[in-house]
Order: sequence, then structure tokens, then C-alpha cells
Amino acid sequence: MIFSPSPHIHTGRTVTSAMTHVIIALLPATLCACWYFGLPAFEIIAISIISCVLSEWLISRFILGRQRPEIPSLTAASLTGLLLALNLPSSLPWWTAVLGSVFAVGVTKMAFGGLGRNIFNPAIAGRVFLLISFPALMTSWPLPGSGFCASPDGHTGATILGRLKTGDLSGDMLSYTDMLLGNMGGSLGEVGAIAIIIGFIYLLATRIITWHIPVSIIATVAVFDALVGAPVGINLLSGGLLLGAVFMATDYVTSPMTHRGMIIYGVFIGIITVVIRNWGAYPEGMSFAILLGNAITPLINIYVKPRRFAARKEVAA
Amino acid sequence: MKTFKLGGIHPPESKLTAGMPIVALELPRRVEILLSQHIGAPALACVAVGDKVVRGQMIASPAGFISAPVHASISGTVKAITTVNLPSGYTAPAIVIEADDEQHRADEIARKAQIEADAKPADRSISEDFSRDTIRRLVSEAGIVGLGGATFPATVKLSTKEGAEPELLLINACECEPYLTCDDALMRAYASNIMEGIELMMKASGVRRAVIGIERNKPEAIAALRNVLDPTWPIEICPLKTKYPQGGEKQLVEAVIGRRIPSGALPASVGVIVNNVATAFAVYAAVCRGRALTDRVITVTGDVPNRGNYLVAVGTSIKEILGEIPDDCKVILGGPMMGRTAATIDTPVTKGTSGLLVLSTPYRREEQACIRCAGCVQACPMGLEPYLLSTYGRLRMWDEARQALVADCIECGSCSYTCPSSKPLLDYIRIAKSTVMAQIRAEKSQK
Amino acid sequence: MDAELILITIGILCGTGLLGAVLLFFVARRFHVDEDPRIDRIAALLPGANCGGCGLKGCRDLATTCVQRGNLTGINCPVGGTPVMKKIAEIIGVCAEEANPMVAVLRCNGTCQARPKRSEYDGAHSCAVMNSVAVGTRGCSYGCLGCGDCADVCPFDAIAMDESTGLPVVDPEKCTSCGKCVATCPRHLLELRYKGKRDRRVWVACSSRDKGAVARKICTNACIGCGKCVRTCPFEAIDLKDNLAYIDFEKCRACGKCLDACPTGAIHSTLPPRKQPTESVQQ
Repeated sequence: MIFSPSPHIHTGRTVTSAMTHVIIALLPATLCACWYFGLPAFEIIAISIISCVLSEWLISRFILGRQRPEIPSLTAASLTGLLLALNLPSSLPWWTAVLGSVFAVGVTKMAFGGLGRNIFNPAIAGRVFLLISFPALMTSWPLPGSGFCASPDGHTGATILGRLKTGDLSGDMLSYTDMLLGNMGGSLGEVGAIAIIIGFIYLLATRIITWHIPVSIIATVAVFDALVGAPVGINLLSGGLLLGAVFMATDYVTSPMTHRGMIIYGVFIGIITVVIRNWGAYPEGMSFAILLGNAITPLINIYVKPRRFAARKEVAA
Repeated sequence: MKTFKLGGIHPPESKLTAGMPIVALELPRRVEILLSQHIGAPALACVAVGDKVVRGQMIASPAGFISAPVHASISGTVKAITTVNLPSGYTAPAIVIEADDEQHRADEIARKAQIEADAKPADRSISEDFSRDTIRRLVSEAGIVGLGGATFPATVKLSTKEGAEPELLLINACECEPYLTCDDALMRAYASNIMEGIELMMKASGVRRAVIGIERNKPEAIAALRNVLDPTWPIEICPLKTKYPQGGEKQLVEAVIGRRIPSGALPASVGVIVNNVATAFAVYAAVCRGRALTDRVITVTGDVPNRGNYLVAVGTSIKEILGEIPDDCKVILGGPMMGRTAATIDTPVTKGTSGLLVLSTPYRREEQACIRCAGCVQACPMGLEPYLLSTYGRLRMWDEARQALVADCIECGSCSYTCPSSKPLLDYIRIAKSTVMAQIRAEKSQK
Repeated sequence: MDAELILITIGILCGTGLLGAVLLFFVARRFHVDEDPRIDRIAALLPGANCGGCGLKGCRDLATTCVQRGNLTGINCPVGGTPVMKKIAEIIGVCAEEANPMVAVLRCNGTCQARPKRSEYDGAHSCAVMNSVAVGTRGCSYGCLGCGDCADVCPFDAIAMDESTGLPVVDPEKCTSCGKCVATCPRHLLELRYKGKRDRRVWVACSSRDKGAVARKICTNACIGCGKCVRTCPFEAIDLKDNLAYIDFEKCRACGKCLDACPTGAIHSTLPPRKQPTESVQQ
């Protein structure tokens, strides 16, 4: 006989399956990146995934002394690697990607105790680390080619957000079609709006995430931008906004636990993003906004409680 | 379609025995009848070893107001008054009765007659003769307890104060647990008798209106009830959207009347009494047929050859019903969400046993780190934070757990069911809850 | 960079520091709380583990209580023991009560060999949880469940689970008799007993109240309530109740006669091995 406390059945959903679903949801964006940026994009993705998984395994084996590799942690690490790569420009030297991966996994995640214990989203932290350490490398984006084997043509340029910042909107302004399809300069994964939206729909359909965080971020950015008179369409479709809102801000570990908390978190991130984009030194503020959102998450969890079934009658009375 | 609002889950229904008729299992030659088959004080044995008893005779009398008598479920001789195994492996006092061939044959014939009589539509004229007090007395004497699993003595619920009667009698026919179909089978077979039982309960408690809350995954039962329902009666059938744990008292009341029972209060605080549909049938049998609660319908399901809905005598050994069970199986008394596993099957069926579920390849936990996915928070039907409560329980932080409202937990198991990290959330919450409840009781008794 | 700028910077920083210091000084004066200096002195003597073994909220609470009451009746720090209590008594100016040093012992002897596994458990790794679900994997409703709740709560790392027996082992050197394990064990198997003269103590390592035959069937090391030890004891220290012998540690002189009398080896001791080894009788 086997005995145990109830319940005796389970959804069958595991950490590994949840992470795998997110990776699947990222595939359209990944393919999109490979299409526009060719082989270098593929290289960056492969390098960051491999170095993330490797650092995860080495740290858990030799520093934390865990004998067996844990599949969920390794899946999570490969997801981190993929997300990090999608946040990098394809012209980045390979060692920079490795450095970012080691920082993402080693410092932001494993130093806090591994999967589930990190305060900040590892991929975002890795990207911000690289952005601060190597600003020149991180802000020159090759212009997209087309076709999987397209080698980057050597042209680099500022992203549309960068041009917005410097007020250089003259010349060949991108059309919305280009922005939706991703035919513009930028980090690997942030260019194809449609690809990201497909991923979002997949995540909603498989119930990996709820709508609260992405929708509240995007709505806040739209409303706030309209209020301050910034071009709403360009702000929504360019830069890391969509990728961040759908895949990075919704990271389980670093986002709030209740729906109301998630909306507060989303609004907060949206506001910070617009503030940085419009008045900050950087043309892109999504990563910083998400990091700040991560930082206030514990606070949200303490103060925003789920809706209780019933108002409490004093039991001790 | 109505349902409750907060949380809830949709486990696979797995109603393998749906649509199967109720089969009367042959009466056993030996029964072990526990003295405590209800919440409250254990009954006191009123027979001695060697006494001859007949089926339906009271063999232990109630010990107080919140208690219930216990009856012989077979005719025979009292062989021993001793301790027997509970499913958990702990022991409890029980009366052991053994029958000889003749007694056995006579019992079988009598029971067959009863079943045939029940199959006919209920004679509605009978109940009109009974007064409120008579019904309460008969229900009390028949040893009826809540048959949904809580086993709270039925008379206590029906004993409402005159002039302060609740507005509504809510009949719980949700059977939201996966696998179980015993209530479903009962409703399909004895719809008119159940209606009669409901009328009797309304009369006993002085309630004017009754609603049967039933999940819509039981269309045949709904049809059967509709069939016998006279539109002039103050009884209503309320189909509900299938969602676990709809059968929880608080969830059901919210689903049906849209009001929430405050924490720590009884359904009476919103003017409702809730009773299980099987209890209604037992009330009918007790009052109209003068029969004590000696048999009940249980679902035998899962990985066993003899699946089905059975009428079983209380006190029958589970081993006798299931046969030999391999060692790597889980035997669950009740449903898979809230049922308790048996550490030994050498134990008797009680009034509260609603099903026997055998899982041959039970799901085994491989606990992983919490990834804070908030699945448990979203699944909790009470709006609690299981991840937090569970941690408090594990670290023995009882005061913090109490602050976080652990006492509101209904132990439905939705959190553990949902958790992708397979954390035993409810296991620790239950420990915290029982500790906190003990604290609260101690404080109350001090005042 | 000119010198003037450097000087200004230094000046401003020093000035700010000075201002802060002055401010802090006055704030500390203004909000000073008078506290008996003895509390600090006593708190410094205490181990500082805040184990709660004294029954108070922690070491500082003990210190405050001592000073407030002005005597030590009923207050004892089991961790620091008599030496610490004596020092505290000196500070307060009273005589310390002599407390017998105590140690936690396990009243179960149901090793893996004595009680083979009967069922599998699949739930939270916690004795409290397992106890609430069923009797445990080994079929004994009184004995150790083996999940190590006691080892988890021990603030002094004095309890470790022994893999080979499946039972916790108390390290008497580390045990401070704080009583946390006693309060935690859902089956109340740990007991605080006198450490005994020259560290010699004898106890019944079983808590089963089952009848002899039943207990024996479940566990070969169980106390079967035969009463031989009761008859053997020259000091009338052993008591038999509910099929279970209990040795009163206040009366026991650790002579060890009961060890030889016990047919199941349910009585354990820390006495040095004698000529006739008192190993448990296996059948």
C-alpha cells in the first residue's frame, strides 16, 4: 500500500513543461531573427544558450555541490539563454554573449540560490550588464537583410527609437508594415511584432501566462505616450516593448502573485518605460523598467493580497 | 450557468462508473461496526458479547447531542467489542457481529424486499402524517449523518429554532470529486424518494424552500429529478457549471444564492442549511420505511475489475469488496482530491465512505523549487496564498499563518493539484491549520 | 584641479559629518531609554541562541524577566546550565537553584531491522504530516516516523538521523535540553531526562502501549509490558502502565539490572558494556 495526504491526482504540468512552452512560444521570434540577421544571429543564439546551460550546470555541480543535474533548472537556463540572445544585436562578438550569459545565470540567478529564488530576471539583468559595460557594442545594430543565409551587409544604424530620441526622423521612415514584420534594425528578437504576438497568443492558449501583465504594460505605454504626445504606434511596435511585455516581464519568478498585483506591476513598468524613453539618457527603457518592476515585486506581494472569499469576522472575538 | 467565483480547478472527471446501476452487494457474514462513524462523541455500546442482534437494531446509543447511534447492519451474534483497524492503521473501538447461514439468508430476503419497495415511486401521503418532532426523532434514531463525507449528525442540522428558521434548504448533489458517481447513481435510481426525503427535511427544519445544486455533468440525474418534480412544490433544481470544489459548502452556497458565508461561520449565518443528496435519501428511508442507516451506496472505481456503484452494508471489510490489492497501489477512501488513503485495507466501510478508488500507478511527487508561478493563488477558492501558508506551516510559523488566514482553508487540494513544482502545499497547510485551530479553540475555551 | 576646490570639498564633507554627529548626539540624549544595566550584563552571559528552552521568548526576555522579578525561581537556562545560572544569580544577588543537567533521549528503538517497512509513504517529508495521515510506514502507531522533524528543529545541531536505523540520534555533548524536539515530535518520543552521575542513565526505549503480543508483532524491540524490569529494580524506580514500562529518572540509580532482565532489549543505557553483553534478544 502507498499512503499519502490528499490530493492524489495532479495536473501533470511541470516546471519543465512550462519552460518548454515558453521556448516554443519564442520560436516565431527566433525564426524571424534568423531570417533578418542571418548566420550571426543563429550564432549568438546558440552561444548564449550553450553558455547559460553550461554555467548553470557547472555552478550547481561544483559550487552548490548538487550531484545530479536538475532538468527544470537546465530548461530554465536555456530559456534564459534564448531570451538573452534575443535581446542582443547580432553583430555582438561571441565572447560578449558568453560574458552576458555567465552574468545572467551566475550572478542574477545562482548567487541567490538558483531557480525560483532570483530577485531579478536573469536575461534582462544580463542584457543590462552588457549594455552598461559595452555601450558601443550593444547599440550598433546591423540593418536587416533577408533570407536565412543573408550575411549582414555591414551597414549599422541606430534603431528607430534612437532616431526618435535624436529627433532624426528625416529620410526613409519605416512603414508600419515593416515594423510589424520586423524589417528594421534592432536586437534579434525585438524586431518582429507579429512573431511576438503569435507567441503571446500561444502562451495565453496554453495558460502559461495570463493577460494581466502584458496588456497592462502595453496599455499604459499607449495611454501615457498619447498623453505626453509621443508617437504611440512607433513606441509600441519598436524596441523591446513587446518582447519585454510578453516574455520578460511575465517571468514567473520575478512577477507578482495576484492579478491585481500584476496590473500594478504592469502599469509601473509601462510608466517607467515611457519616462526613460522620453526623458532619460537611453533611447530604450524597457529593460530598466522591468528590473525596477522586479525590485518592487516583493513589496507588491506583501501589500496586494488576493481577493479573499469573505471578509474576516474576528474569530478570536 | 451559475458557479462560484474565486479560483477552482477543472480536473479530469474520470467518472468511469457513470451510468452504472446500483448493485446490492451480498451481505457479509462478518461486520466490524465502528462506534465513531460521525463527528462528535463516539456512541456507547449497548449490547454485550454473545448477544443476538437483528439487522437494523441499535447496538450503540448516542453519547450526547452531537453524536449518533450505530445499528447492526446484519443479523447475528456479537462476537467481540474490541479495537479494529482504521484505514490509517490507527485503531478504534468497534462491535464485531457474525452471522450464521440462516440469519444471512433471512437478511438477504428482507433486503431484497426493501430494495424492491424503494424502486417504486414514493407514496407522498405517508409523510404528511408526521410532525416536525417525529421526523427529527426518527432521523436521530436512525443514526443518520451527513453522507457527503463530513458525517455530521443530521438531526443537529435539522434542529432549527422555532421562529428563526433558515430560508433555504440547499441539497448538495454536486459530486464535484472526480471518479465518484454514487450520488449520481442514487439520483438516477431513486429520484422520487429523494424528493420525498427533501420534503421531510424541509418539514423537520421548518424551511420553506429547497434548491438542489447539481453540476451539469450529470444530465441523466438532472433529467430524473426534473421528471418527478411537481412544479407546485417549493423545490428547485439548479444546474451548475462543473468546477471543483463546487461541493464545498461555502462554494456551493455562493454558487447557488450568490452570498458568501463569512469566515468561521456556518451556512445558517446566510440563512441556509446544506445537506447531501444521499442524506435526503437516508431521511426518506428512515421516516417512511422505518429503516436505520445500515447500508450506503459507494462507488468502487479506478484500476479494479469490479468497478461499479454498490449498495454495501456498513461494517463490510474493504478487503472483501476489493479483493487482493497489489502493494504498489493506492487505495483511496473517497475521491482523489480530498479522500484519505488507506495504509491498510483490513478495515470496515463506515457511514462516511463514499467511494473506494484504486490507483495502480499513482502519481508520485518529485518536489522541485517553487517558481512562484502563482498557480496556487489563482486556484485557491478561498482567496488565500497557499505558497505562503505552506511555507509558514513548514517553518512552524503559526502566528504568521494565522495572520494569513490559514483557518479559512477548506483543504480542497486545488493548490497541490495545480503546483507545477509538485510541492506538497496542502500537507503543510493542513498542519498549520490544525495547530491554529487548536489555538483558537483554546482561546475560546479560556474566555 | 585647484587646491581650493579640494579644500572646499573636504570642508563640506567634514562639516556634514560633524553636523550629523551633533544631531545624533542630541537625538540619542533626547530619546534615551533607561534600562537596568544588569539586563545587558545577563544577556551577555546567556548563549544567545534564542531557543526558547527556558519557556520565555528568547535570551533577552530571560534577562529582563530575571531582573524584573528579582529572583530566579522557576527560571532556568537549560543551555547555559548551572554555571550560567550561578553567574546570573551573582548579578541579581540571590542564590541559584541547583538544576540537574538534562539531555533528550529517544523513547523508540524501532530500527529498520526490528520493524520492516509495511507500506510506502508519498507526501511531504515531515513527521507531523505523516502522523496525521496514517500510522507510518512501519505499522507502529506509537513509534518513530523517521522523517526527522526533531533534527530539523534542533537549534544546536545535536540530533542527526541515522541512515542505518532510520532513527534520530541525540548527541549528548551538543544537546542543551532546550526541549524543542520534545515539543515538536508528534508522537512525544523524545524526553528530557537527567544526564545522570558520570553521564550514566537508563531508559525504556519504547513508547508502545499496544498489548505485548501486538507490540511484538509490529516491532521485535518493543516493550511488551512483561514487568520483569519492575520486579528486578531494587529502587522501585520502574512503573508499568498501559503495557509500557517507565523508569523514573529521579529514582533510578543506573544500576543496570533491568537491562539484563528485559527480554526484548527495549531498555537502553549509557552504561559501559559489561561482562555479559546486553544486546537485544532477537527472535
